[in-house]
Amino acid sequence: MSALTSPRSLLKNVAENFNQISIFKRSSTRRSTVIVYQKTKSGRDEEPEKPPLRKAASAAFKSIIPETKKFITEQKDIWTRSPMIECEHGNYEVLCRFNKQSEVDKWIVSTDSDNKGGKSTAEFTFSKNKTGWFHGNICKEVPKDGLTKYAGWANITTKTPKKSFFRETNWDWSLFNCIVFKVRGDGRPYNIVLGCNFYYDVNWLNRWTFPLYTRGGPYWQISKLPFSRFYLSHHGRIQDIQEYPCLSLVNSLGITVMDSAEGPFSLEIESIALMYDVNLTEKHAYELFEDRNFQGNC
Amino acid sequence: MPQSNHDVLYFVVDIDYFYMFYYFSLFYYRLCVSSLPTSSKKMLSLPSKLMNHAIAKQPLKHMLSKHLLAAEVWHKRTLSSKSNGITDTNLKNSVNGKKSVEMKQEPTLSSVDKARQMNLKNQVIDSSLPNHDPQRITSESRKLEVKAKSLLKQIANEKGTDKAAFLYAINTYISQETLYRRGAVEFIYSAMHEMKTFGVNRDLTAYKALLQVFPEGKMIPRNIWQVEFMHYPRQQQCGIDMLEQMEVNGVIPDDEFGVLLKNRFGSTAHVTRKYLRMMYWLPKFKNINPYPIPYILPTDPIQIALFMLKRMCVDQETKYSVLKTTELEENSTQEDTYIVSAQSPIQQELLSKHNCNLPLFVEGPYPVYLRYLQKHYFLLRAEPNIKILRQKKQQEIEEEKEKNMFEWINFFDEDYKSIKPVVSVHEQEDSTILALCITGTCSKSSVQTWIRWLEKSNPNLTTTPVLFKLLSEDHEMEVIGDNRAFQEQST
Repeated sequence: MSALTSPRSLLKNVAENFNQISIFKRSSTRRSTVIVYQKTKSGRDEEPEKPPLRKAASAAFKSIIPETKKFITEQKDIWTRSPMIECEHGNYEVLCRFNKQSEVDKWIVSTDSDNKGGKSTAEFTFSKNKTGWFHGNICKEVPKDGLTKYAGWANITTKTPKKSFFRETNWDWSLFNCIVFKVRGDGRPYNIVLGCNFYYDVNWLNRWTFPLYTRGGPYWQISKLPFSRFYLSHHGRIQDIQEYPCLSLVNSLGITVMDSAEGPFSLEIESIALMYDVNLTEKHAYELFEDRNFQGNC
Repeated sequence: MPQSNHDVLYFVVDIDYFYMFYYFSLFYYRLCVSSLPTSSKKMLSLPSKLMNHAIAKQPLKHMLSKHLLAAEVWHKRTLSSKSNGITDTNLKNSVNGKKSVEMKQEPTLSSVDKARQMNLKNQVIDSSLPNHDPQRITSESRKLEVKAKSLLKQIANEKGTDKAAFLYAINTYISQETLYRRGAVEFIYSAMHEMKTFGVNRDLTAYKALLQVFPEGKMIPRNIWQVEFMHYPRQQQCGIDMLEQMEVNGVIPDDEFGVLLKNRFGSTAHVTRKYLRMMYWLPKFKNINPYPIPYILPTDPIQIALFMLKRMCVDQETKYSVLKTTELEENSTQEDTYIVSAQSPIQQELLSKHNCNLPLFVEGPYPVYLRYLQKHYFLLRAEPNIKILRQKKQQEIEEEKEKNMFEWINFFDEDYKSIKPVVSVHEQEDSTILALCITGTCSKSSVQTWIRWLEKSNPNLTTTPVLFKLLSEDHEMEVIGDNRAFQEQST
């Protein structure tokens, strides 16, 4: 046996190959048992490349002044502003009003064509009506790669909130019990997705979702979605044991289009707000008690 | 035999400590065999004990072939890398007529990409068998699939594509296979693939009939181990795929479906668990839509257009009328289509009050959806009534101010100016909507006839100029209306 075909060298090769295997974001199309090894904890394909030291240093140096300014305003806010401790009926807080270009730029657009999972396109732009306009084209053609089963989605998500000096934080929405949208859609349902800033990586892909139905046409609609209706899903799969969304740790808010219709879509968003409504007394819309039969068998 | 680098993954995943030693011994054994020259290969054969074991247990046999294959792939790869390393010298030597190893140098790809490529090679065009597990698609199953497809095709040619023909196809399959139900999985997969052409993909009874292709009682697991290790995995996976297709098409199973499933797979199998979950969740979301859509959509385009307009129009008093272009226009050049128009009395009133010097706009076509159906609509609009809107907004702002909290207005002091102006739903910040319509062809001429028809009920329209802002098909989408004037005034 030559050196190349010896089992030990072969095993080495194998080990190298395992390192190459990285799991794509849409691994949910595959059976979950296949996931052996993830390159990054967050489930990305690749770690973003580190910039060279000189560039990193200069970027850090440039950011010192604006970040300290940010830090000072933060500290001022802590001492001067009186925080909201309790909510009364009808109190609201506007999360984002899309009347500026900068408000629209805070959102990230992604579609299935980003990682070769389809041919959909999407844009989130600042329209002439001074609103945020999420539009594009949904194509349900499945790529013939032998792995993908379904295609045709587009999504916009907020960037993760950051304090001064690039420290990641989360929003505290625990005072409110519903989220209000002023939108003008095209008759499709849009999914609202909430993500939380959890410590353990097992929970990182937990998302709370609920559909936002639109009526279509030129009339604006205001729809109020109670948080108690949001259901928990992990990796896109609905979970047996449900939980109320952890509103004090909310990290991301997204809007997804993924329905049976093919073709162009458009959703014009004027503003998104949080509200407290006394009449929504429901704690959670889905059963929270432990059903021994259900959980035992399933 | 299909080959794929996908197996590299399986090898690690399926590690059961119980069988680990077994796999590794096979792996090394195969390595030794493949590294020897071909003549001596024949001398070696698998130990009889192992072979018996592999033949007796089908799933194990599957595993075995899988990993042998994986070993083969790796071995080939090393060979190719070896040959690539010495190509230059090898080529020179091969002039003497000796056959050297000639391998094309492949471009460097990640292993997942390679797996995809391999999968693509194995994929048969228009195969209904799922390709998430390529190892399970054997030549045998391909044959059975072709047989099932030909049966479906034959019946579609004879009896047409409708529900009765689909049920007839299932019955003929069952009557042909009396004892063993051979190829049930392949038949179900190909029938599921054809369901849309037969028009039964949203029909629960069709799924019930299709489920009965599985034999009754044979696949029920008898103990916990069989349950956990997925008794009859191929059949169960097929059942799960069927349930998933139902889920995607919005079909909610009922109790009868559950009874059929339990008679075939038992009450604890993976398929039944999927069924239980669906029965828990789907009825919860069944009536969640505040703008409901009927389960069975009408086939008549006029009815669909009417339904869409009823869904769009907020005003409850809106009157809908269906028109035919040929009846309205006497010109023979006119195309024969329908127009569905929607206008409420309030909109008529707004139109009659409209200043004749200012133009009106006809805009469109904008897309609307009703589940998976798409249509385009046009709207007749005027520029927004900024004066009233601004007045209303200012009053609202003043009301919210904390300064005015204790300033009550007496009944006698009350001025007519303090009363809020009444603004109808049609007067929005970006436009005042005066009428909506859906036409069959979305052509300019059909919209013009609609405007001409509107002139009869709205005499003011004859004197006002109407501008047509129509988007062509290739044109990019645009936002409805324009509220810049209002925004500039209010700030």
